[in-house]
Amino acid sequence: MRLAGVLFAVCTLVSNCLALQARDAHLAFPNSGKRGIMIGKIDSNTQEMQKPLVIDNSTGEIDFSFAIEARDRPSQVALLLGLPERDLEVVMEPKVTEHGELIMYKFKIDQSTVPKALLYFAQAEEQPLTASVILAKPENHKNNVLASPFKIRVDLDEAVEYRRPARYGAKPEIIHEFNPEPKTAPWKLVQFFIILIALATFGLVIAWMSSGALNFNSVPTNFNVVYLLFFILSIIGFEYIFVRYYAGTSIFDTLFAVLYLAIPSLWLGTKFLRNFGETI
Amino acid sequence: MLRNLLIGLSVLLITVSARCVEGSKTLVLYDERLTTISDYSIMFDSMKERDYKLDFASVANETVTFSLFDGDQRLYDNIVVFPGKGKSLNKHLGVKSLLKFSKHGGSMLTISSPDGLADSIRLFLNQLGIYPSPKDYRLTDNFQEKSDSFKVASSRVENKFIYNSEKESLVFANSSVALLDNREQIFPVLAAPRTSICSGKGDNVWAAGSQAYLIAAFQALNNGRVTWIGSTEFLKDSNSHANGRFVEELVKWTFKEKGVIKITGHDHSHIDGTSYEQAPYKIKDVIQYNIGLSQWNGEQWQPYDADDVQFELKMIDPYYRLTLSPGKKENITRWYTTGDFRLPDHHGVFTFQVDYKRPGLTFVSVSDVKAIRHLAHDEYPRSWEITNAGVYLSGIFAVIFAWIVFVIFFVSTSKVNRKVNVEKKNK
Amino acid sequence: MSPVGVVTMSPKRKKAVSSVQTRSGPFPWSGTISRDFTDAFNVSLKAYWDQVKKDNRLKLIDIFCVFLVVVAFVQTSFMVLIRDTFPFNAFLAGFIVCVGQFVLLMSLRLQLVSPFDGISKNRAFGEFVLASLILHFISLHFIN
Repeated sequence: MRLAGVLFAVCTLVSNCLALQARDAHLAFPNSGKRGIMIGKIDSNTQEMQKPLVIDNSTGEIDFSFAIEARDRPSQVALLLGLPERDLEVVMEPKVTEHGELIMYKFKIDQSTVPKALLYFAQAEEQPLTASVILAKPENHKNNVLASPFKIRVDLDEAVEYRRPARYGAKPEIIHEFNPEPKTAPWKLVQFFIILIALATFGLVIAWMSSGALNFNSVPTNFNVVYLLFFILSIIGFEYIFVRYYAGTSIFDTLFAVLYLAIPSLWLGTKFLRNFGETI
Repeated sequence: MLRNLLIGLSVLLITVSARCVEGSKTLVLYDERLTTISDYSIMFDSMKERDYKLDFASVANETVTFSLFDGDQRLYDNIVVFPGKGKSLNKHLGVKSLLKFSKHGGSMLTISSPDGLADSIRLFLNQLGIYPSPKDYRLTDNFQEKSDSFKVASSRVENKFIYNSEKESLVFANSSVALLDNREQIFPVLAAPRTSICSGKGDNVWAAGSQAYLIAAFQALNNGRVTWIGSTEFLKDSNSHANGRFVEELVKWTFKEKGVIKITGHDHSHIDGTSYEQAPYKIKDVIQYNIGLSQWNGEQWQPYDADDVQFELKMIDPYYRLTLSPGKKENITRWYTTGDFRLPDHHGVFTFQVDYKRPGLTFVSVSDVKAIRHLAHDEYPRSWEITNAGVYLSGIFAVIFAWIVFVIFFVSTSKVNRKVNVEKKNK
Repeated sequence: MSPVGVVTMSPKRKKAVSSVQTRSGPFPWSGTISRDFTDAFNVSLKAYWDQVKKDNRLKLIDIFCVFLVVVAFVQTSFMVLIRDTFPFNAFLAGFIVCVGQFVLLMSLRLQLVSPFDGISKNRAFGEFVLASLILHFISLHFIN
């Protein structure tokens, strides 16, 4: 019983020693001169930093480094950077340097090396990029570390130039925009002008009658009055045919009508004018 | 006795009808040295139940000969290829014959594993845009119980037309991964876990994370399908308790029992029913377009329901792109209609097109080229219909009326007033 | 005639010269120009009235011409007011009927006052009627 207890204690001690952790994790901004940020220890319980880091036009490089003891050397050390909820993540490899008992790992996150797709979606959806650290050894799944110590917000001035790859799917709808119908004047204005013209016509007839130039002396009193009447009626008839043409009769019907009216009216009209005497 | 015989014969005839739309003659190629074919009996038995005619051929066996083509005619509709050593398949199945097979619309299910992938298959897959990892590169996930045997949730299957279930967990072991091109015709099916890494001898890494894929599919424009699976363990009988349903659905999709649609008919006309032949379309006419779609459910055609079928009216650039709404349902067809829409006010030769390509379904497309004429000389609005022209029209009629009155007065009036003459006479 | 003209002219001219000399202004010739203009205007007006008194029908023609000018002006002012020539064919049809009718009337008037060689006045009137009918048809056709 006691042996079992001792063995249990030893086992838990050993397994705790097997738990991977990184020490002295910190972020440095070599190019932009900003102060570095210390994160400290990274293990399975690491929580996220309060404020996200920012990539903007002035930030050059972000260096993320930490150290791991040589005896705990993990076989898989990687930094996942991306949007895990979208399943869009890129794996970054560290630069490894050995300093005796400690192994230093450094990840360089640079705006130019981060894939444009990540920057584009982070900017478009206004989500920060999640950085997750993987420290893993085989056959050690309980003690491997997958932690997200910090997030990076993308805050660039201009939109990221990224052309989304073509995918099959519904495309945006297009409805044709028609040329606008030509605008017409208001009906009241047109009516006003029609009344103006009607008044002018009325005024014309009045002017004719009041000018003193009208006398009906030339109306022939003999048989020629019939010719006169026919002459007037034929020109009224022609105007009627023309107005009927305007209203929609086909041109061929109109031409036939003109022909039928023209034969008698030309003959009788010339007869009328010839017999009109010298008074014209 | 005769009656029983007849019943038996009719039952046989009914069950012999094929489940695949294209055809069910299948060739299974494997290498005896790497693959024990009896380990996959559950998969092949279920295929035989669905009336596949399977021909097994092992490339290690020198006496076996087979050919895919007889002249230009395909002898097999489907191929299943298991992993093989580098040059083993080159003799029987070179890259050129694979390409020819794919060009003639055949479907393939290729399986590779870290134990090897035949060169011709690898080159063929690279041409499609699928880049499997090389020999001896294994996928490991250190965050699961056993590094190289892990579970992936079936909700991570990316294409709902291939498999649609949230609750299962699929088992992979001894798996390779592939990197994929950004091509529209490649449909990734299952991505590797986030924390996984595919590495080979001496810690060389081929790929890591969720940008690598465990299962990927490709569909050519002639609807021939190629599916690549990264692990032979995935299909084995020993894992069929977890993977069985998914494998069956994947095989169904690859060999065109599933995810197959077709266009059963299309037409367009004026909204009152007059067809184009009776009254050719002119600009600004109101017309409607209808199309019918069907889907194969493994045994028969049935109506296909979707909300993203689009119609395009194009003359080089699309003038209209409308989403069709479902209309009446017929026997095997669901008809979709655009509703009423007005033709553009530009005349020309237009294409009435439906080009329905969705990942996971067969590509269907139909187009109809028709001329749309401009207005004839007597189809413009007449002047009495235009408000502005009223003024000018009244001017013309006023002049005509005044002229008639003028002629009457002119002919009636004498040159000088006779009153003066009379006065003179009287004087 | 001329000596008489000279005799009668000179006192007038003298008067004009004297009137010029007495005027003191920046433009010594402006008076002459405006006076010449008014003289010419009055002379033409008198000649016009004399002509019209001889033949009644010239009055009819002239009043009709004024009417045509008014109608053309109304149509143009409508077009200018709405600043849009929208049915341009309609505007042209309305304008052309006025202008064409005016031209035909002038031609008739000319032949009434002094007939052309070989064309009697009756024939001139007959041609006027025919041409007017064609003009009306063209106008109605053009306005559509």
